[in-house]
Amino acid sequence: MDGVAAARAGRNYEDDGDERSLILAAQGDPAAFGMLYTRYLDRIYSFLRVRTTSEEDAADLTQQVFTQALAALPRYKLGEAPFSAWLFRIAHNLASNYYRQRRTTLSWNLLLEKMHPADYRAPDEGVLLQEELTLLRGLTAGLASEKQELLALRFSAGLTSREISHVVNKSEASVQKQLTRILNDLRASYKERN
Amino acid sequence: MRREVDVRREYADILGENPDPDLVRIVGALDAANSSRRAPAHVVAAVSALARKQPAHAFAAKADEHPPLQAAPQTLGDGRSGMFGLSRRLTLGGGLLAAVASVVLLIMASLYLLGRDDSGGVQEPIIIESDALMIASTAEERVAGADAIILGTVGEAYDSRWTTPSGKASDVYAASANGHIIYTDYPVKVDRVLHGSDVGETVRVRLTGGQVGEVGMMSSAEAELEPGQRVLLLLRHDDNPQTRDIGPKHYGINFASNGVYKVEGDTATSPSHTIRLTELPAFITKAEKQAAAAGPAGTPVPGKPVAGTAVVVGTVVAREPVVAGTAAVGPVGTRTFVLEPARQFGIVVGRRLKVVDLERGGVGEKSGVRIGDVLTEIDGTPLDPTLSFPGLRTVFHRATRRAVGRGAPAVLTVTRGVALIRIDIMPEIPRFRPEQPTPTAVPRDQLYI
Repeated sequence: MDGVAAARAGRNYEDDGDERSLILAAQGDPAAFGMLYTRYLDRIYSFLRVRTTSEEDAADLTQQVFTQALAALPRYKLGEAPFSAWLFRIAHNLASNYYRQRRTTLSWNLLLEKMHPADYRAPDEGVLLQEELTLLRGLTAGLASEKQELLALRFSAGLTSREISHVVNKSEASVQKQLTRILNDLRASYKERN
Repeated sequence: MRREVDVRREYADILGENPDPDLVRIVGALDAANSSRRAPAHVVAAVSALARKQPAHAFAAKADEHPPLQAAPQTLGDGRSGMFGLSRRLTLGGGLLAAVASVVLLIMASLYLLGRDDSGGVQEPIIIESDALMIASTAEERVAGADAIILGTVGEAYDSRWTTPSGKASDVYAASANGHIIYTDYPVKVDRVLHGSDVGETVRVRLTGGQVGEVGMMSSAEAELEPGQRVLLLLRHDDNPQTRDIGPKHYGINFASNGVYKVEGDTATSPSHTIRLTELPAFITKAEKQAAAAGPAGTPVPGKPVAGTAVVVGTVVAREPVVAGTAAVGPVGTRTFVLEPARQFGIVVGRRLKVVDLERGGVGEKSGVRIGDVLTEIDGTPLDPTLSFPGLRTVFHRATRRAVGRGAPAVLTVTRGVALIRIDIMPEIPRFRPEQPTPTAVPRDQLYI
């Protein structure tokens, strides 16, 4: 099961003894890092793809995340923060630098493509009408950068509120509350426009 | 899209108990829109190499593995940041330089939305950017197609405006959906008229793009004017239906960014052509003679079909351009002028990336692509069979740029039966050729790439 699938299946790596041993192994031998990146590669890329404006940039940043992670891994302390949060913290920092340099936060095109009804394999299961998707896309894209990032961490990276709290240096309750508020705001705007 | 019950379960922490159905739908859509992305194969390979402690060069993107066959690419455009700080470099390879140049008529629009600063209340601009491919043309063609050619000095820009009656747009999405764009006028003090009549002491030059409030719009190929800069301009009467009837008499730039020459001393330089001012009159005469001898100019004529190109006009928020049988050909516009078919590859694909037709004699056919093949990768980037046509078009346009930039073919991977086949294919930048038949518009469930 890959990282995305595992996250979506509700598997929580932070309590995963297997992951602990993987981390310990990788700290001693970088060659053992392979299993860890296999778990997180798609999630990191997915998160960065939403935070960048091109596939190339997302790919570059993804490589940088793992380069930095490998270099910093000996300093990672088990038990201080979930490994996922530690890794996404690196991705978050790189994305923030990217944002500062490029002043862009979200690839509109990406959502446009992915939210195209033709992309859905099961169109009979509650697919939003195209107009609604267009509206939602506009509402999401108009959010503040920090809010977009929270959505990206939750929906693209597949992180739990607790993991996100470590990434953005806020409490779990605060993250949860903020996400709920963002979604409720989206719903209110959605209803208003609709 | 996942079942509602699964969405409710996975996002229970933020949905709460008994959430509003609309909220569940929104969360479901966000989940669906973000859950299926996979890292491209070359990233997987690079990270794998990292773990194996392979040398740094192993991390080069696969697209860069092709050594240039010719001299280093020449940069079209001055390579500096665009008006909103986004890079606007566009490179074309040496192989096309003889013909390089450009009108634009391009292709797909991307919207880059910038967030707003929550705390300070300072709003970052929303950038609407259209990405453009250049159509090859010669300097002579560009000069001959100009309604006026002047030497002058650029003044300070007037305030940018939307093409709406008020010049503003309270709802950018609605304005874009209705085909409105932003334009910016510049006064240019005329020092010398080299061609054209009825040109006053100052001309007003209109460029698409600009910034109104928090919304910026730009086209990667549109010309740029710098206040204070001495310029040689190839002007045309504004025939863009979006802007031609608005405001006072004005001109557009002929052939977009290649219609602006910066003048330093005795030398005028456009992104693709340099000439001494003393040689200009003779050059203009020569170009006009060539154009007259060639018969109907290759320059597009507004409102008429142009051989070799059928143009689809969409809007910046259109997800599926409406295929038009006739061409609405005009100057580059920030409104998405989609050159359809883009046909750099001469391949028509249907859903699920299956090749359903090939341009007769096109580069796809010549390179060995066959009807029935299924496209799986371009330059090492896996092609998602569920990708929308706009997305697919974007992928292939980027491949075109890379291939042309490095002067080496793109690598297309297809499956044919059980075989996986790599095909080197050099995309072809279309030229205006009056003698070519107008390609047939493809059905909506197919895409001509």
